[in-house]
Amino acid sequence: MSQFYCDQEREVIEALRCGSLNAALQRHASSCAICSDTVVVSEFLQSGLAEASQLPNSDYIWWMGQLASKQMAVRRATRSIAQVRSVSYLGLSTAALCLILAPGNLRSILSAFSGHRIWSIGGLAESALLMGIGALFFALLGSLYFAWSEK
Amino acid sequence: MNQEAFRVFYNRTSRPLRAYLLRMSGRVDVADDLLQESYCRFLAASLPEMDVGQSRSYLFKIATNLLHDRWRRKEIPENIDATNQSCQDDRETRIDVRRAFDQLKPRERQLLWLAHVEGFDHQEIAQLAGLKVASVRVLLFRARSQLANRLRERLRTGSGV
Repeated sequence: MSQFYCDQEREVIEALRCGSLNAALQRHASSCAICSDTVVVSEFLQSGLAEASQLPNSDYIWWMGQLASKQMAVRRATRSIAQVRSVSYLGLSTAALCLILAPGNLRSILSAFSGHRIWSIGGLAESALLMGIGALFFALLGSLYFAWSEK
Repeated sequence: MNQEAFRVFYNRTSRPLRAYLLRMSGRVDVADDLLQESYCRFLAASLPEMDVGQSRSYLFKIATNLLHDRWRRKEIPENIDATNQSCQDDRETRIDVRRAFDQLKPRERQLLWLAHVEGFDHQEIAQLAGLKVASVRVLLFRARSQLANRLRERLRTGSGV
Protein backbone atom coordinates (compact mmCIF):
# COMPACT_ATOMS: atom_id res chain seq x y z
CA MET A 1 0.00 0.00 0.00
CA SER A 2 1.26 3.46 -0.87
CA GLN A 3 0.64 6.57 1.19
CA PHE A 4 -2.12 7.64 -1.22
CA TYR A 5 -3.73 4.47 -2.47
CA CYS A 6 -4.26 0.87 -1.56
CA ASP A 7 -3.81 -2.06 -3.95
CA GLN A 8 -7.16 -3.46 -2.85
CA GLU A 9 -9.01 -0.17 -3.24
CA ARG A 10 -10.31 -1.05 -6.70
CA GLU A 11 -11.40 -4.48 -5.56
CA VAL A 12 -13.39 -2.85 -2.75
CA ILE A 13 -15.05 -0.40 -5.18
CA GLU A 14 -15.94 -3.17 -7.64
CA ALA A 15 -17.41 -5.32 -4.85
CA LEU A 16 -19.55 -2.42 -3.65
CA ARG A 17 -20.69 -1.66 -7.21
CA CYS A 18 -21.78 -5.29 -7.53
CA GLY A 19 -23.51 -5.42 -4.16
CA SER A 20 -21.47 -5.90 -1.02
CA LEU A 21 -18.06 -6.80 0.36
CA ASN A 22 -17.06 -10.37 1.07
CA ALA A 23 -15.64 -11.30 4.48
CA ALA A 24 -12.00 -10.93 3.41
CA LEU A 25 -12.54 -7.45 1.99
CA GLN A 26 -14.55 -6.45 5.05
CA ARG A 27 -11.68 -7.52 7.27
CA HIS A 28 -9.25 -5.59 5.10
CA ALA A 29 -11.43 -2.46 5.07
CA SER A 30 -11.68 -2.42 8.84
CA SER A 31 -7.90 -2.38 9.16
CA CYS A 32 -7.01 -0.10 6.21
CA ALA A 33 -7.73 3.63 6.52
CA ILE A 34 -7.90 4.18 2.74
CA CYS A 35 -10.31 1.31 2.13
CA SER A 36 -12.40 2.31 5.13
CA ASP A 37 -12.83 5.76 3.55
CA THR A 38 -13.48 4.07 0.20
CA VAL A 39 -16.36 2.08 1.70
CA VAL A 40 -17.95 5.17 3.29
CA VAL A 41 -17.63 7.26 0.13
CA SER A 42 -18.70 4.50 -2.30
CA GLU A 43 -21.78 3.61 -0.28
CA PHE A 44 -22.76 7.26 -0.12
CA LEU A 45 -22.20 7.98 -3.82
CA GLN A 46 -23.84 4.80 -5.04
CA SER A 47 -26.97 5.37 -2.98
CA GLY A 48 -29.84 6.99 -4.89
CA LEU A 49 -28.44 5.99 -8.28
CA ALA A 50 -31.67 4.31 -9.28
CA GLU A 51 -33.28 7.73 -9.54
CA ALA A 52 -35.90 7.66 -12.26
CA SER A 53 -35.23 9.98 -15.17
CA GLN A 54 -36.64 10.51 -18.61
CA LEU A 55 -33.89 9.99 -21.18
CA PRO A 56 -34.11 11.00 -24.83
CA ASN A 57 -34.77 8.23 -27.33
CA SER A 58 -31.62 6.66 -28.80
CA ASP A 59 -32.93 7.07 -32.37
CA TYR A 60 -33.37 10.78 -31.80
CA ILE A 61 -29.81 11.09 -30.46
CA TRP A 62 -28.54 9.04 -33.41
CA TRP A 63 -30.30 11.37 -35.84
CA MET A 64 -28.84 14.43 -34.03
CA GLY A 65 -25.40 12.83 -34.16
CA GLN A 66 -25.69 12.22 -37.91
CA LEU A 67 -26.69 15.85 -38.38
CA ALA A 68 -23.74 17.01 -36.28
CA SER A 69 -21.32 14.85 -38.25
CA LYS A 70 -22.65 16.23 -41.55
CA GLN A 71 -22.25 19.78 -40.28
CA MET A 72 -18.72 18.95 -39.18
CA ALA A 73 -17.92 17.47 -42.63
CA VAL A 74 -19.19 20.63 -44.34
CA ARG A 75 -17.14 22.78 -41.98
CA ARG A 76 -14.06 20.65 -42.70
CA ALA A 77 -14.62 20.85 -46.46
CA THR A 78 -15.03 24.62 -46.49
CA ARG A 79 -12.23 25.31 -44.03
CA SER A 80 -9.61 25.76 -46.78
CA ILE A 81 -11.84 28.22 -48.63
CA ALA A 82 -12.38 30.19 -45.44
CA GLN A 83 -8.63 30.21 -44.80
CA VAL A 84 -7.83 31.49 -48.31
CA ARG A 85 -10.52 34.13 -47.92
CA SER A 86 -9.06 35.26 -44.58
CA VAL A 87 -5.57 35.48 -46.07
CA SER A 88 -6.93 37.51 -49.01
CA TYR A 89 -8.70 39.91 -46.66
CA LEU A 90 -5.53 40.23 -44.63
CA GLY A 91 -3.44 40.92 -47.75
CA LEU A 92 -5.93 43.46 -49.05
CA SER A 93 -6.09 45.23 -45.69
CA THR A 94 -2.30 45.34 -45.46
CA ALA A 95 -2.00 46.73 -49.00
CA ALA A 96 -4.70 49.31 -48.30
CA LEU A 97 -2.98 50.30 -45.06
CA CYS A 98 0.37 50.66 -46.86
CA LEU A 99 -1.21 52.89 -49.51
CA ILE A 100 -3.01 55.03 -46.94
CA LEU A 101 -0.12 55.38 -44.52
CA ALA A 102 2.57 55.96 -47.15
CA PRO A 103 1.01 57.69 -50.19
CA GLY A 104 4.50 58.34 -51.56
CA ASN A 105 4.84 54.60 -52.19
CA LEU A 106 1.86 54.60 -54.54
CA ARG A 107 3.40 57.30 -56.63
CA SER A 108 6.75 55.47 -56.83
CA ILE A 109 5.02 52.18 -57.74
CA LEU A 110 3.05 53.87 -60.53
CA SER A 111 6.12 55.60 -61.87
CA ALA A 112 8.05 52.33 -61.80
CA PHE A 113 5.24 50.69 -63.81
CA SER A 114 5.07 53.51 -66.32
CA GLY A 115 8.82 53.20 -66.95
CA HIS A 116 8.61 49.42 -67.41
CA ARG A 117 8.61 47.99 -70.87
CA ILE A 118 5.30 46.19 -70.25
CA TRP A 119 3.71 49.36 -71.58
CA SER A 120 5.85 49.46 -74.68
CA ILE A 121 4.42 47.80 -77.78
CA GLY A 122 7.57 45.78 -78.42
CA GLY A 123 7.43 44.11 -75.01
CA LEU A 124 3.71 43.35 -75.10
CA ALA A 125 4.02 39.90 -76.66
CA GLU A 126 6.74 38.88 -74.23
CA SER A 127 4.73 40.14 -71.23
CA ALA A 128 1.58 38.35 -72.42
CA LEU A 129 3.59 35.13 -72.73
CA LEU A 130 4.97 35.53 -69.20
CA MET A 131 1.50 36.24 -67.81
CA GLY A 132 0.11 33.19 -69.60
CA ILE A 133 2.81 30.97 -68.16
CA GLY A 134 2.18 32.44 -64.70
CA ALA A 135 -1.58 31.84 -65.00
CA LEU A 136 -0.99 28.23 -66.11
CA PHE A 137 1.43 27.68 -63.24
CA PHE A 138 -1.06 28.95 -60.64
CA ALA A 139 -3.91 26.96 -62.24
CA LEU A 140 -1.73 23.85 -61.99
CA LEU A 141 -0.96 24.60 -58.32
CA GLY A 142 -4.67 25.13 -57.61
CA SER A 143 -5.64 21.85 -59.31
CA LEU A 144 -2.98 19.95 -57.37
CA TYR A 145 -4.21 21.50 -54.13
CA PHE A 146 -7.84 20.56 -54.78
CA ALA A 147 -6.87 17.06 -55.88
CA TRP A 148 -4.87 16.65 -52.67
CA SER A 149 -7.64 17.94 -50.41
CA GLU A 150 -10.19 15.64 -52.13
CA LYS A 151 -8.09 12.67 -51.03
CA MET B 1 -20.73 2.53 -35.32
CA ASN B 2 -24.09 1.66 -36.89
CA GLN B 3 -27.48 2.58 -35.49
CA GLU B 4 -28.11 -0.76 -33.81
CA ALA B 5 -24.69 -0.79 -32.12
CA PHE B 6 -25.27 2.78 -31.00
CA ARG B 7 -28.64 1.83 -29.51
CA VAL B 8 -27.00 -0.87 -27.39
CA PHE B 9 -24.19 1.48 -26.37
CA TYR B 10 -26.66 4.26 -25.53
CA ASN B 11 -28.85 1.98 -23.41
CA ARG B 12 -25.77 0.92 -21.51
CA THR B 13 -24.22 4.34 -20.95
CA SER B 14 -26.91 7.02 -20.98
CA ARG B 15 -28.21 6.52 -17.44
CA PRO B 16 -24.78 6.55 -15.74
CA LEU B 17 -23.69 9.49 -17.88
CA ARG B 18 -26.78 11.49 -16.97
CA ALA B 19 -26.29 10.71 -13.28
CA TYR B 20 -22.68 11.92 -13.57
CA LEU B 21 -23.67 15.13 -15.35
CA LEU B 22 -26.50 15.78 -12.91
CA ARG B 23 -24.36 15.32 -9.83
CA MET B 24 -21.55 17.46 -11.27
CA SER B 25 -23.70 20.33 -12.53
CA GLY B 26 -26.53 20.15 -10.02
CA ARG B 27 -29.03 21.13 -12.71
CA VAL B 28 -31.38 18.89 -14.65
CA ASP B 29 -31.52 21.18 -17.71
CA VAL B 30 -27.72 21.36 -17.94
CA ALA B 31 -27.40 17.60 -17.46
CA ASP B 32 -29.89 16.87 -20.26
CA ASP B 33 -28.27 19.41 -22.55
CA LEU B 34 -24.77 18.05 -21.97
CA LEU B 35 -25.95 14.46 -22.33
CA GLN B 36 -27.25 15.20 -25.81
CA GLU B 37 -24.18 17.21 -26.77
CA SER B 38 -21.81 14.51 -25.53
CA TYR B 39 -23.44 11.83 -27.70
CA CYS B 40 -23.58 14.16 -30.72
CA ARG B 41 -19.88 14.89 -30.44
CA PHE B 42 -19.15 11.22 -29.88
CA LEU B 43 -21.02 10.30 -33.08
CA ALA B 44 -19.53 13.16 -35.09
CA ALA B 45 -15.95 12.27 -34.16
CA SER B 46 -14.10 10.02 -36.59
CA LEU B 47 -12.89 7.41 -34.14
CA PRO B 48 -10.71 4.36 -34.69
CA GLU B 49 -12.08 0.91 -33.80
CA MET B 50 -12.76 0.81 -30.05
CA ASP B 51 -14.18 -1.70 -27.61
CA VAL B 52 -17.12 -0.77 -25.36
CA GLY B 53 -14.88 0.18 -22.43
CA GLN B 54 -12.80 2.55 -24.54
CA SER B 55 -15.90 4.07 -26.12
CA ARG B 56 -17.43 4.61 -22.69
CA SER B 57 -14.23 6.20 -21.47
CA TYR B 58 -14.13 8.47 -24.53
CA LEU B 59 -17.76 9.47 -23.99
CA PHE B 60 -17.07 10.43 -20.37
CA LYS B 61 -14.04 12.39 -21.51
CA ILE B 62 -16.22 14.43 -23.87
CA ALA B 63 -18.75 15.02 -21.09
CA THR B 64 -15.99 16.04 -18.67
CA ASN B 65 -14.57 18.54 -21.17
CA LEU B 66 -18.03 20.00 -21.78
CA LEU B 67 -18.54 20.39 -18.03
CA HIS B 68 -15.18 22.16 -17.74
CA ASP B 69 -16.19 24.52 -20.55
CA ARG B 70 -19.40 25.42 -18.71
CA TRP B 71 -17.52 26.00 -15.46
CA ARG B 72 -14.95 28.13 -17.23
CA ARG B 73 -17.68 30.23 -18.82
CA LYS B 74 -19.40 30.46 -15.40
CA GLU B 75 -22.61 29.08 -16.88
CA ILE B 76 -22.88 26.72 -13.95
CA PRO B 77 -21.64 27.47 -10.44
CA GLU B 78 -18.73 25.46 -9.09
CA ASN B 79 -20.47 24.88 -5.79
CA ILE B 80 -23.89 23.43 -6.31
CA ASP B 81 -26.95 23.68 -4.16
CA ALA B 82 -28.20 20.28 -3.02
CA THR B 83 -31.70 21.61 -2.46
CA ASN B 84 -32.09 22.26 -6.20
CA GLN B 85 -31.48 18.67 -7.16
CA SER B 86 -34.40 16.51 -8.02
CA CYS B 87 -34.47 13.26 -6.15
CA GLN B 88 -37.10 10.93 -4.91
CA ASP B 89 -35.78 11.07 -1.37
CA ASP B 90 -35.81 14.76 -0.54
CA ARG B 91 -35.65 14.65 3.20
CA GLU B 92 -33.68 17.31 5.05
CA THR B 93 -31.20 14.76 6.35
CA ARG B 94 -30.43 13.44 2.90
CA ILE B 95 -29.94 16.93 1.55
CA ASP B 96 -27.61 17.68 4.41
CA VAL B 97 -25.44 14.67 3.62
CA ARG B 98 -25.50 15.47 -0.09
CA ARG B 99 -24.26 18.93 0.70
CA ALA B 100 -21.03 17.37 1.96
CA PHE B 101 -20.34 16.14 -1.56
CA ASP B 102 -21.59 19.22 -3.36
CA GLN B 103 -19.29 21.47 -1.35
CA LEU B 104 -16.21 19.77 -2.73
CA LYS B 105 -14.35 21.36 -5.64
CA PRO B 106 -15.59 20.36 -9.13
CA ARG B 107 -12.39 18.43 -9.87
CA GLU B 108 -12.70 16.49 -6.59
CA ARG B 109 -16.33 15.66 -7.27
CA GLN B 110 -15.44 14.43 -10.74
CA LEU B 111 -12.59 12.22 -9.59
CA LEU B 112 -14.64 10.70 -6.78
CA TRP B 113 -17.59 9.99 -9.06
CA LEU B 114 -15.51 8.48 -11.84
CA ALA B 115 -13.64 6.25 -9.41
CA HIS B 116 -16.38 5.23 -6.99
CA VAL B 117 -19.50 5.15 -9.14
CA GLU B 118 -18.25 4.51 -12.66
CA GLY B 119 -15.44 2.26 -11.52
CA PHE B 120 -12.75 3.76 -13.76
CA ASP B 121 -9.20 2.92 -12.69
CA HIS B 122 -6.57 5.57 -11.97
CA GLN B 123 -5.07 5.27 -15.45
CA GLU B 124 -8.43 5.82 -17.14
CA ILE B 125 -9.28 8.74 -14.87
CA ALA B 126 -5.92 10.32 -15.65
CA GLN B 127 -6.65 10.12 -19.38
CA LEU B 128 -10.18 11.40 -18.89
CA ALA B 129 -9.25 14.35 -16.71
CA GLY B 130 -5.96 15.19 -18.44
CA LEU B 131 -3.88 14.55 -15.33
CA LYS B 132 -0.96 12.34 -14.37
CA VAL B 133 -1.74 9.05 -12.64
CA ALA B 134 0.24 10.12 -9.57
CA SER B 135 -1.75 13.36 -9.36
CA VAL B 136 -5.03 11.45 -9.66
CA ARG B 137 -4.00 9.24 -6.74
CA VAL B 138 -3.10 12.19 -4.54
CA LEU B 139 -6.19 14.24 -5.45
CA LEU B 140 -8.44 11.23 -5.03
CA PHE B 141 -6.92 10.40 -1.66
CA ARG B 142 -7.45 13.94 -0.38
CA ALA B 143 -10.97 14.27 -1.73
CA ARG B 144 -11.98 10.87 -0.38
CA SER B 145 -10.59 11.53 3.11
CA GLN B 146 -12.28 14.92 3.17
CA LEU B 147 -15.65 13.54 2.11
CA ALA B 148 -15.43 10.49 4.38
CA ASN B 149 -14.65 12.71 7.38
CA ARG B 150 -17.55 15.04 6.57
CA LEU B 151 -19.92 12.12 6.11
CA ARG B 152 -18.84 10.47 9.38
CA GLU B 153 -19.20 13.79 11.16
CA ARG B 154 -22.71 14.36 9.81
CA LEU B 155 -23.74 10.80 10.60
CA ARG B 156 -22.37 11.20 14.14
CA THR B 157 -24.31 14.40 14.72
CA GLY B 158 -27.51 12.57 13.86
CA SER B 159 -28.27 13.61 10.28
CA GLY B 160 -27.81 10.26 8.58
CA VAL B 161 -28.63 8.93 5.12
